[in-house]
This record gives sequence, C-alpha cells and structure tokens, in this order.
Amino acid sequence: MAVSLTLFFITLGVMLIFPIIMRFFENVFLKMILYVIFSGGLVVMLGIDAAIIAPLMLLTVYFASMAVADPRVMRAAIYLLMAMVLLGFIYIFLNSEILMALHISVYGGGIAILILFAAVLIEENTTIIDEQTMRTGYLITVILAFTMGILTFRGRPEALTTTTIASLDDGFALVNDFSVFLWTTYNHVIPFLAMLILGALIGAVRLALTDKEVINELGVETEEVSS
Amino acid sequence: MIDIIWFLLLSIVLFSVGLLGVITQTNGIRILISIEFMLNAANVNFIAFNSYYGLVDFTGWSMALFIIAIAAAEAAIGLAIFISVYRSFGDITLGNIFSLGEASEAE
Repeated sequence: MAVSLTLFFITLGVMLIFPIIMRFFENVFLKMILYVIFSGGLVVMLGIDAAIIAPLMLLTVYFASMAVADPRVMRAAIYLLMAMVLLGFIYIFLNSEILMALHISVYGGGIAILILFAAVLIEENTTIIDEQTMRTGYLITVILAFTMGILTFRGRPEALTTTTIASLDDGFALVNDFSVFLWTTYNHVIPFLAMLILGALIGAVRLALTDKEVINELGVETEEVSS
Repeated sequence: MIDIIWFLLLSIVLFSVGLLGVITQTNGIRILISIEFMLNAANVNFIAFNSYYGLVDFTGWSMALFIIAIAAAEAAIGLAIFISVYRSFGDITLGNIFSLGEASEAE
C-alpha cells in the first residue's frame, strides 16, 4: 500500500508541475515529444490501468471543484456534466460497465441537463458569501476530510488490495449475474423505486404547473420580493 | 492493477467538495449540485468495495443503483420547487426564504 500511495502522490505532483514546465517550450514538436515521454513514463511507473485512471480521477476532482466554486450556475452545471461523465468512466475500472451506462444516462443525460435548463430559466442573483461562513465551511470540511482519511487508512481491509479489469466476455457475464441478483434478492425494491420515480415525476410536473397565486397562498416568505 | 485506496481517496475528495458546497453556497441549484457530489462519493465507495470483494454478491452495486434512482427523483422535485419559488419571488437564495409551510392564521 505504501508503494502504491507513494506512486499516487508522485504522479499527482508530476501532473501538476508538467503543464507549468511545458510553458517554457515554444516548439510544437518538442512539446509532442515531451508529452509522449511523460505518458510513457506514467505507464511504466504506474502500469497501464493506473496511468489511465490517475488523470481521470484528477480531472473529475477538478471539474467537481469548479462546479461548486464557479460563480455562474450555468457553467457550474456544465462542469457537473463533465465530472459525472468522467466519474462514469472510472466505474469501468471497477468492472461495472452496467453502472457506468446507468450513471452516464441518468447523471449526464438526465440530472445535469435538468440543472442546465433550470440554470437557463433562473436569472441568478450573485450572492456574496461572508468570510465567516467560508472560514467555518473550510474548517468543517478539512476536519471531516482528515477524519475520513484516518478512518479509511486504519479501517481498510488488507485483503482488498488489487483488482483487474474484466474481459468483455466476463463483463457480459457480470451484467447477467447482476441482473439476476437484482430481480431475485431485491425484486421487491425495484417496483418501489419505479413508484418513487413516477411520484417524483408527477410531483415535479404538478409543481411546475402550479399558479403563482397558489404558491403565494402556501405562505412562502422571502426577505426581498423582487418580482 | 489498482489499489482500492485510489477509489477511497477519490470518494473522500468528492464528499469534501460536496460538503464544502452545501455549507458555503446559498443558491439552491448550487446546493443541489453539491448534494449530487456527496451522493456520488457514496456510490464510488459502494461500487469499489463490491468490486474488490470478488463480485460474489452484488449488494454494493444494487445500493449504487438505488442511490442513482433516488438522486434522480430528488433532483427533479428540488428543481421544480426552486423554479416555483423563483416564479413567485424572483430569487432562490435559500438564506432569504424563511418558510415553505402553510400560511399562518394571523396572516
């Protein structure tokens, strides 16, 4: 584990420093050669699986951070879309092609687009967050992340060390086994989920069609009524 | 061959990013986005542990599937509520909304 972690942090460092180094080179061919050497070095150092997944993870974290931090909601929704698609690709490395397909369909094709439409419909008022809230937020997040990190490292089972990507045939077999498992062990949950999503759909349509007066009667109170 | 710790680290970072967004942001849509990241951090853990246990049982994958379905329902309802509130008041800054309950008798 120590070797793997060391390699992970070395990769992280190199990937952060590499774009800065590339700024010093003007020649395109030289840049291309450097990129090839960098990619080859990653593959040799980490192995092909890890060399692919490391940039994917870093990009996912980057897009996730931008989705939370970008001042415009529209851009945040696009960053969410990118992060979700990349996260879906990471599931391939966990032999879970079926969940990758579901994840990209639901998050990339459903939720992100829904949020994108909402961002288009709503004219955002830029809110300035006070420093006290920011400081408290960062403090709580750092403490919780630190605690989770310690728990992860201490509670991690030593037996679970490595896995490999399954072949295509094995992947199909896994999807088949997963489907059988779902429709046998959890067969009573699937109709419940279907009802839940149908209820949410009907509720969302009902809310969207609600008249302005009805919402006023519900007693929604705001500080500033701008409309 | 990838160590499971990579996925666990990714999960921690994603959860922290989502948590930071929920605590610091005031815009309703942005908070929904942050909650999606927190749910996805849980998903990564479920799928990673299930895959690394040798795939004799698919409980982790099943839980991830249920979380995806619930997240979709939550996003649909949440956005519909925000759009309704916006149509009436022109603002979805959650700090400015005091109540979504029934109007009091005094009013």
